[in-house]
Amino acid sequence: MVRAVWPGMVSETGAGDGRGWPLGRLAALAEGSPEVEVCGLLIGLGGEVTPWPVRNVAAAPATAFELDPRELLAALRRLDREGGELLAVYHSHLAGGADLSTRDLAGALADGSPVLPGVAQLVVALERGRADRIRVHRWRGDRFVASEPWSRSVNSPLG
Amino acid sequence: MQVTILVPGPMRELCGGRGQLTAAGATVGEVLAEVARAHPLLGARLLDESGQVRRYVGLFLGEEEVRELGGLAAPVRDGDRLSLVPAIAGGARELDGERIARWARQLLVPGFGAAGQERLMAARVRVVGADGQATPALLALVQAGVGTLWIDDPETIGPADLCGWLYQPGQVGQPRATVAAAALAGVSRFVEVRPYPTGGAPSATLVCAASSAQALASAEAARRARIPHVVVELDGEAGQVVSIPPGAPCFACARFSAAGERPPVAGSLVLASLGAQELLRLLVEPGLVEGRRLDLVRGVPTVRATQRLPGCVCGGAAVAGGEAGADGQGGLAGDGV
Repeated sequence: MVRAVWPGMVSETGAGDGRGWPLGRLAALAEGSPEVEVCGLLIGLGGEVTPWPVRNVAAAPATAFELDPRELLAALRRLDREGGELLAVYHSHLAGGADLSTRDLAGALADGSPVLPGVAQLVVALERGRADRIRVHRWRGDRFVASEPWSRSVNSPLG
Repeated sequence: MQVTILVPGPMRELCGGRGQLTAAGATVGEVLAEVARAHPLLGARLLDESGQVRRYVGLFLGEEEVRELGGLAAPVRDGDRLSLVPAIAGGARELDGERIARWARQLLVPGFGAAGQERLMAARVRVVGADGQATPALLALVQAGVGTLWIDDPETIGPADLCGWLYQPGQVGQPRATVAAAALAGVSRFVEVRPYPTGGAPSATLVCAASSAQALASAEAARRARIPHVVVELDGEAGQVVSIPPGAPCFACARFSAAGERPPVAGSLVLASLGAQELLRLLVEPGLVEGRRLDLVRGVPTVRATQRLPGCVCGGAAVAGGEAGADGQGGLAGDGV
């Protein structure tokens, strides 16, 4: 089943404790960067889920992402100060759908177990510059399992 | 030396939920070895069997990256704070076995390698002009592994286009862009070829325009977009190829102005291939390639660094005018500066 997504929308559920993923904001962040993959953290704080963008320092940022370690350190320190919860790492794909690629998996796993235990992976997929599809991937014991996708267009070219 | 190790939230379950650890040692390496002994789960995440730092983790001593301080050999002082940061990375596409096999030869070239190939896979190249003379350039870009190719040509295939490398006699009268896109899709499944405009912005342009006016206009659009571009211009004897990385002297400065407007002769197919090779260089080694012009006269090539004409807007002298130019008014006015 594919669920519709539109600007400003927050998923009704997903992030836990009745909180929803900020799908509209994530779509806008991804669409605002059509040349370079965006990436960052999704933080649960005060009953809301908020994206904390982090600079992408990958060598080829159109097809890869790597969170700037210095910004990530600052974000993790802020998280400790403010008492928030790291719910997910998000990044965009400029094309090719919202599944985790082989390289996404290689980056998310250390010797077959998640680098960030308990943290989901959220992918926003662009299609011709528009956020087309969002999927959340959660670790289930031995592999990442993808949520049903949210999609702007149910007749998506990605099916 | 007693050092405090700061463990970020997502890694604390590897060391009993603690956010701070202490360990002693004279270097970062000794401190981490002690951490690994006390907390084997965390240690396995930090160091590999040979004691080197794993790629899953970043280390900061105070505010400095340990990598920049000399790695594990970096000395520590009493009271230093060593922060652990998980490395978070991934990628949309990758060089899989099939792609490595296909591009094995160029992957071996120094300065090219996997990073160069990934830059090509990520590139969106607009090719202005897809007549018969331009067809070797189209093939060269696709075969090198450019990920997205946008063909900008509104004309149909004429009899003269059949002397190129792509069009067949039965295709005379059909649109060049759509025929070229279909033919190139059959050559490689690692490229997406579409007629331009596509609604997207290119990351590089190859100009194989049929007229000097069109070449100048296309090059100026690419200069304003600050994307690398190469212009192939044919003249009676063969012609010229001008490479323009962002910030280099523009095509109007760099071209040999007596060229153009004359009918192409044998040798022009070579020139289009050279143009494609120049653009590939700009894509693979961004920032390392200077602007240059390659002239081919009676089969003899000469290469020279390009020069900026005094006062040209491409020198950044009229930055304010350049800003205004973004709305489409600064172009011709700039020529008078």
